[in-house]
Amino acid sequence: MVPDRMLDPATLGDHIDRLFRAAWALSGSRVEAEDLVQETFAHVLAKPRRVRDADDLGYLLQALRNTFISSRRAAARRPAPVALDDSIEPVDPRPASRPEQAAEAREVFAVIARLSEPFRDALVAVDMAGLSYAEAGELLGTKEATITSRLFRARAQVARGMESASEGVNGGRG
Amino acid sequence: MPDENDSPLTEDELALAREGKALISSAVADVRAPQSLREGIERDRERARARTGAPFWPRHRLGLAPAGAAAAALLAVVIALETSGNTTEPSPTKVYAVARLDPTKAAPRPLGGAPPVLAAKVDSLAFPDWKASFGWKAVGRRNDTLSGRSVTTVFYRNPQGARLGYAVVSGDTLGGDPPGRGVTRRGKTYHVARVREHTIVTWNQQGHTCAIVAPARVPPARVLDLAASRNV
Repeated sequence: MVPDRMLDPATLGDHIDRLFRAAWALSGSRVEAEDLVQETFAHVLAKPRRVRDADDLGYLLQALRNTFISSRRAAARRPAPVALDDSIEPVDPRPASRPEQAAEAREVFAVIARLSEPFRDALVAVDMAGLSYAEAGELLGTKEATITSRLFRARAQVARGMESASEGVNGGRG
Repeated sequence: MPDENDSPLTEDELALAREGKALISSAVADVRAPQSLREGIERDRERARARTGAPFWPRHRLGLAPAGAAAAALLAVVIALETSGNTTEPSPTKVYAVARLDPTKAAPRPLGGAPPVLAAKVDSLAFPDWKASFGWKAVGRRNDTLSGRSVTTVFYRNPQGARLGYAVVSGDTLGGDPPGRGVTRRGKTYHVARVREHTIVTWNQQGHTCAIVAPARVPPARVLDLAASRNV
């Protein structure tokens, strides 16, 4: 059994990319993902934290899910969302920017965000955050075999969702 | 209780799952957290490191005499106020989002001056009156609080009916480079971003982060002219 230890702020920066991808997949919005990750880190770093996990990533991902759920509840109480749409994404100019791939990536994240919660959560934990099946099972309070099943079905649903999106675009052009 | 997904996957489903995995891997490979987010988190981490490096936490865990504990509790409140109150700052995207909202108050009245300003300011930074020089008339304002910072936005409308929001964030300038391409005018750098529906210019003015969010039909050069007109 892994003993309790204090969360070390110095090591948390290694997980920003994974958390960002997970947040984008949860919310379906790159803009909202940025806010979610910022709020998650601000919350986690606000005071010393004692953790049991061997890896900080599981702890951070749980904190991210909690932040996401809280933000959704808060949003439901507000009259209207104020976030900019994801068209703001191209404003982060990178030399290797590839618009078509970026557009497809956006659609993949949007499809994932529309999955039902059990499938989405399994996919976010494994394919976005990089947890093992066992770690994902522990995080989500379910069996490893269930994670495996949900993950495969979630991936299949993403493929179907992307096919539908592609047909929709092509149909619209025709 | 059997899991709802215990039924085995068919060959077709497995093929789809492989296809989905490839799509996801490709999408993930191109995605990195924005630099502005990294820098914001880095600032939070530095503050956290500074806190954990202080002698307060070890003493707190060991336990203190009642009088000392009371003093420590007071110290904790002070530390919390000093360090946790601004553990985060609004992301640029939040500021831009506010600048796109509708006004909640009447437009500030013109005060004149050279250059002319309006009766609205953040600290000593007054909002400009652009009616005479650019044709943009102030049509409303709003005040919001984002991550503990007040954001004042004045809205302007031009004769063609386009409306822009000019937001100023209270307190120190936000860390990190804003999104967009850096453009220098009169020695000052402005970050210009063109998105599908909006043109955004972000810059620092008198120690405050300022942003103009205008409809995309307003050319970026015109928005930049407005921003740079402050640098006189």
